[in-house]
Amino acid sequence: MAKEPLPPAEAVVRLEDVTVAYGDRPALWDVDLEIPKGSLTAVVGPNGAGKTTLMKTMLGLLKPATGRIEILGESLAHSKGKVAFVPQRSSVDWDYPATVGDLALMGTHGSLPWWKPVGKEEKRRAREALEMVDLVGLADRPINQLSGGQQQRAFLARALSQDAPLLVLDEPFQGIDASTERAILDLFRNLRRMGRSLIVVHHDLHTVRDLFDFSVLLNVRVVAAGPTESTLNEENLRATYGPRLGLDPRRAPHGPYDGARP
Amino acid sequence: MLEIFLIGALSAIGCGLTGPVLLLRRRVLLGDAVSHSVLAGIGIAFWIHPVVNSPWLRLGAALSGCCAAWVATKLTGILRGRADAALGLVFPLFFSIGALILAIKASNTHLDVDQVLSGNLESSWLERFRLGGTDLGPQAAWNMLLIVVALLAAGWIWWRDLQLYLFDPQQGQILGRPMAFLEILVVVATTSVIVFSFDAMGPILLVALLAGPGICAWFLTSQIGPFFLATVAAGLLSVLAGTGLACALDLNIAGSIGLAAFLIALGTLLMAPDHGMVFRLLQANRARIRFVARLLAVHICQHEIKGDQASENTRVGLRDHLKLSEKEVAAGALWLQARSLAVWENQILVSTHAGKIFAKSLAEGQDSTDGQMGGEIQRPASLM
Ligand SMILES: Nc1ncnc2c1ncn2[C@@H]1O[C@H](COP(=O)(O)OP(=O)(O)OP(=O)(O)O)[C@@H](O)[C@H]1O
Ligand SMILES: [Mg+2]
Repeated sequence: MAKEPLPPAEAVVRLEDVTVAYGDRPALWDVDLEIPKGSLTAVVGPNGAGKTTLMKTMLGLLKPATGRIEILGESLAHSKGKVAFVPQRSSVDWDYPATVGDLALMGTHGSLPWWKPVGKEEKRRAREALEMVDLVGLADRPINQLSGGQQQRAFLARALSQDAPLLVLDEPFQGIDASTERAILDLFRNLRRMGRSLIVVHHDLHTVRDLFDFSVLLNVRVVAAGPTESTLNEENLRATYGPRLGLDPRRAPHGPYDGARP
Repeated sequence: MLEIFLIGALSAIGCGLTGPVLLLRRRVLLGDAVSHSVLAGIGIAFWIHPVVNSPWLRLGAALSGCCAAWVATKLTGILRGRADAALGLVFPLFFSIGALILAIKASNTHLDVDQVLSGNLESSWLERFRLGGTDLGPQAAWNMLLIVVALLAAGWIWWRDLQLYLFDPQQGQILGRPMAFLEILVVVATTSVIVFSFDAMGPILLVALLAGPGICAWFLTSQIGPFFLATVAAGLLSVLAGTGLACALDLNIAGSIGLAAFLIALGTLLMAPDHGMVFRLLQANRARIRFVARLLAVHICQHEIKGDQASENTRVGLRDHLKLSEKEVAAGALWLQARSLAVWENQILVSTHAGKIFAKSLAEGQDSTDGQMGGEIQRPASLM
């Protein structure tokens, strides 16, 4: 399974000296990070490492105490709408009156001025997004009749319909079955091939090693960041997770990823 | 009479346009809270300018209503979404400030708490709107008309942002939409509707018109646009039926509108297609037969594979092993026969080729024949 070579190093995200604190307790310490454009990046680290905090900071949902953030060479204020997000846990009210199709369409809401009604182009984007996550059949289903995994996929569709150059996904595979997970991982690789950048918080180190070309190891500080081959090694993992974790293929929960849909 | 109806109808439209917002954010009782909180503003305005019936009182009322709604909204954020607790804290505070000031400063005038709290639709038309000496109708109607037009304009401009705000403000922020502004807009819009229609209708009818029509919409639709339309329509219907009732039986208008709103909500609860209770009762029987038919299809195929169909797949065998009544077995078998999925042969139910495929698809969790799995009735929103 060959990985495409990394594109020339232009940063999609650049953080300089970013510290984020909840109250006076820092969740991220002095993060310097540069994620190359067009990469499929994994962010890994133990629970409470600050992964969600990092994602939210990149999206401008949390204000860093110090530091500078650039998205695609622009400051956060100018990059609104260029980042799509699938949250780890969402507190939305699923009884809100909308269908799956409406939800997918919400991703396009940022790109239209108010006097223009939703047009063919927006509908096409929403439909394509639903196709990508295999939810077209449920497009007319009210969202309060979805299963947990279907809800997660509907959120993914909303992020995809936004057509943003950067996609940020916080543990997108929670509650998603194995075959859908593989289909979505394939989708990620396709998106990357089409020139989009993806940053995914992901816990399965084996798929990270097999599929993601850039890795960020995080535990309050950035322990290591770089191309996966050179970064995801025993030493760095130990520094991130503590001494008891190794990358032993015999203990792999799913076995190595073979790139094929089952 | 016509003027009273007009005031009521415009209030219903105003409530119909804001009710869904409150309902979807789970703060319908904001209507009640705000209408009591205006007392603080009335008290303070009266303290500064002690004249009963001055426009300052109404301005004070509107301002303190906005203020209370805003504080409650912020507090809800701090309390992580517990709107009931936030309202419970804010509204007694504002109410008691007003009550104290009025008790001290206005004890010798006839401005008292009861008067502030009970709006009166019958007399709402008494205050006229005059322009250069000509009478242009009741002031209250003009106020509400202005508010309704403003609401429609705002709703049109911020329609998509409003959807984001109601469903997932964080997503709105990510898309770069002005969510903080929308929060202010929603507070101002809801409080102005509340303050002005409460003037005419009183707090109880106001809450009835904010909640009742919205609940109808819950049972009628699962899309946001129709949701607003259904709410407005149900509100208008309530006012029409209520004033009609009041005229016919010579009753208090506000009371009969409130009653009508309740009855219409109840009627929708019972009769609504898909979610209504009557519909679900009717459905339950059909769904039961569908479910039994599916049970039979899977069961007979299994025993045909095992080879003991002669003893198992008879009427008695099916009845006893599947714990069904004889009637149910007959109805289920009929359902299968009608679709050429099974036939009776020598008192044994035998699956056809199509029936075997059907049973297989059921066992794999796909239900190809008419969509839903039997027995699984669509659940309406959590209001049930
Ligand atoms: N709203 C909050 N208020 C205070 N502290 C918080 C808040 N959210 C997170 N924290 C703290 O910040 C630290 C980092 O949290 P974060 O959610 O970023 O972790 P994470 O890496 O995403 O973990 P997980 O793998 O469990 O999702 C944790 O120690 C957590 O306790
Ligand atoms: Mg997290």
